[in-house]
Amino acid sequence: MNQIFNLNRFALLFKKHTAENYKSYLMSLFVLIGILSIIIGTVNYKSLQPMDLKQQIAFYVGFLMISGTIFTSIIFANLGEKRKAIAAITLPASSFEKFLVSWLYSYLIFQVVFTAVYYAIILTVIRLGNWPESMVHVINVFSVKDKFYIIFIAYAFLHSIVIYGAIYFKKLHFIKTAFAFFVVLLVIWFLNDQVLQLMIHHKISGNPPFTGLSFEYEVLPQPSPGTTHTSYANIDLRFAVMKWVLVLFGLLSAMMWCAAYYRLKEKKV
Amino acid sequence: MIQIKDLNFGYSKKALLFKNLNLNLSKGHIYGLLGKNGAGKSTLLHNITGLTYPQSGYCFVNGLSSADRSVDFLSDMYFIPEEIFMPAVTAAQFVKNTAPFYPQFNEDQFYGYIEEFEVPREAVLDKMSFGQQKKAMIAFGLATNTSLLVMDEPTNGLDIPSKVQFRKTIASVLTEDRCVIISTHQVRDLDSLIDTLVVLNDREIVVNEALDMIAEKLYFTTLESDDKQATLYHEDSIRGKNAILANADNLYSKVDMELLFNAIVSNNQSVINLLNTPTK
Repeated sequence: MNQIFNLNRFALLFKKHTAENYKSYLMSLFVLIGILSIIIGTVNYKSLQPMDLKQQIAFYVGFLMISGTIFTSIIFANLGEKRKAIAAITLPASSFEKFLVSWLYSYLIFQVVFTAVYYAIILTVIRLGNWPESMVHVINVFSVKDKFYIIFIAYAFLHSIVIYGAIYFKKLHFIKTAFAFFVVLLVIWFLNDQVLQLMIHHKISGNPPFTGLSFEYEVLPQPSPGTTHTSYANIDLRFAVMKWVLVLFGLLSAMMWCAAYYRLKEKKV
Repeated sequence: MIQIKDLNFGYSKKALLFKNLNLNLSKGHIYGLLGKNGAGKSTLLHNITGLTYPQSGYCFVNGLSSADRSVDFLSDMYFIPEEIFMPAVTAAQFVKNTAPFYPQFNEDQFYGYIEEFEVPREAVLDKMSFGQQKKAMIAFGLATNTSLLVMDEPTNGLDIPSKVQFRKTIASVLTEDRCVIISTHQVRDLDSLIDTLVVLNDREIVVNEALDMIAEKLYFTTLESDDKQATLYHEDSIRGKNAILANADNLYSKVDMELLFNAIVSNNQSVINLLNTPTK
């Protein structure tokens, strides 16, 4: 018998997971539909025109990231409770299959369901608004031209961190993972400033990592003696470079998923 | 079947719970694992079942390392912990979803055990009382027909008729290909059930001996209170002195597990040494 992956066993595990969790997943889905409907509905109702594309994308990204990470943070909640962890660990399926079922639910299925729900709500709300056809625009989150795939790379990165935290922490998975994430982010932010300062010999403060470079510099020669005139420089990353940043985040996500899998494989009770 | 060699385990590296622990258990036996509270019975079972793994040394079950948790290992082993978890499904749904993971599972046996234990078939498992849940899980564990069945305090939460039924059922499922380990601190629950006694004390396996062999080496009797006969260990009771004597005359007596357990955990070296003396 294959000890890593067997399609039949994986299907059994997927079925078992679904049978034992579908009620709570459906309830979560209704909560998501409720929240999205209330917020998007209210914004539209109070507006004189339908939601523009910027608003739509902001809502899509915001809700995807928040609801997706919350859902992912509880996907391994059973490992935090001893009696449930024993049942999960001793079930005769490989750690890879167990990880894959949770990954599929929290990453792939969640994004598909979220996107479907989001479009259903946006279209319903816009239709209820009875605006003229010419005013109505709906985002296409799959548009390559608009580079919306960045959203999915960002979600993959956040998902990989949160799923690791979901396995690593026993309780308060979301809060503890978010806390650890912000601490690491703060350290990277600080180190990024130090490296940039060494590179360009100018004081840098608070430049967000992976986003180009902004800094203040003294204008020389000074227009009038005794005064200090400064100017502001902003260097954006070209998309050719940005593409590599995206590749880097894709690789980091894959590494974190691997780390999460090994964490699950070595999980103790 | 189970080989534990030089196993070192501790929840922290500084304080080891087991130091160079060695233990061999064979098929065709029902082992009773006894130890005081906190002796590490559950931890030992967790090492055997792959729920945790040693800092050094190894534990093999049927030649497979339990720490690897391979599918072959997991599908031939069933563990019933002290605190069980049952999902919100009926017994029939649980069988449908979980039994296919165990190649030797026998559905007829399962429903037979469920009936013997008087567990309702159609009730949702997590809505049943703790005792009923435990009986359903024991029934499931028995029906998996895995070569290793491990139970941690299985009689906790069972009423007296259920304990009687439990003893009967367990005794009936033992085959030459199966090894059953039952851990408990309620020594009396294992009466007339186990055939081999394993005692864990002070981080060591101090006894791993078949009851027949114990009865050959030790003689259990009740002496008059004023009897001056030398005993290896005794406890005063209303009827006199419950005593353990060296069985020099090859007399037959039923092993009083509670008395023996008390003698061992009170570090009675005479008893322990005699038990660990190889038979001629």
